[in-house]
Amino acid sequence: MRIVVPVNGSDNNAVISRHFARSTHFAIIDKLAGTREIIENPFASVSKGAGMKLVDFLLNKYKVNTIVAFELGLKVQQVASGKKMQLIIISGKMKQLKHVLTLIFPNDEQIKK
Amino acid sequence: MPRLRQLSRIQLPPRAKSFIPVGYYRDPDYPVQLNYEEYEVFRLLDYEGLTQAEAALIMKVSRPTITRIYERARKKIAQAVTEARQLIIEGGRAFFDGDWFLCERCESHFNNPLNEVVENCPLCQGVYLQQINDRI
Ligand SMILES: [Zn+2]
Repeated sequence: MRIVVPVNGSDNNAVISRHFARSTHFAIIDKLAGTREIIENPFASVSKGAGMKLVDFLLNKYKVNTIVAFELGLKVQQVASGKKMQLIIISGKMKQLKHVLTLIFPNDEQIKK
Repeated sequence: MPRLRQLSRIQLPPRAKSFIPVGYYRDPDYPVQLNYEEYEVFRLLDYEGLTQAEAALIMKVSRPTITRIYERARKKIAQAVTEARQLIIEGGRAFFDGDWFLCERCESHFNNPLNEVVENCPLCQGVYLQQINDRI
């Protein structure tokens, strides 16, 4: 399972973005391998149609099959559903990337640093 | 005899079950109930900026049905805001676009695009799950 989380920032304290396609970075989490990397959003400044390009990019380059977000625009949601990606809409109580990592890797102290 | 309403397709579960007014003149005892399809039409037209024809395709109902649902939704939201009444989002004649679950542990909603057997939350592994489709 490879998960993407939109974040504004490049470490585990990064705040989870309210708007999927407009975040500055993405955290790519591999649940089985126990890894996480943070990449820049290459479409952050694209004004139109960023959502669809983004889903293709995450799918093809990073083999992501799960999207974790607060909110998904209709376009992103439809493209992602068409590609059979799993959507996880998290509660507003989760603020930072480390909160998501704690849920996925409850026993791995290393990855949460 | 009232006409049987069509089932509308809903994309995502609403994030809030209710909105509660604040202030001296609030009237919390008489909530306004906005049902799922009214919420969804309001969201698609006024938040996503779709046309009524586009919303009709997504929700799998006719254009005139969208117009009727939208009228009801706007009246209810206007009433709740003006009269400072609680707005509750529940009920209605709708189905979700695929299965949706709520994890009681981490409070995430998630779907099941590959139609697998769902026993755990994909995020926190929690086992107390509610199937959202059942609540409509
Ligand atoms: Zn959970």
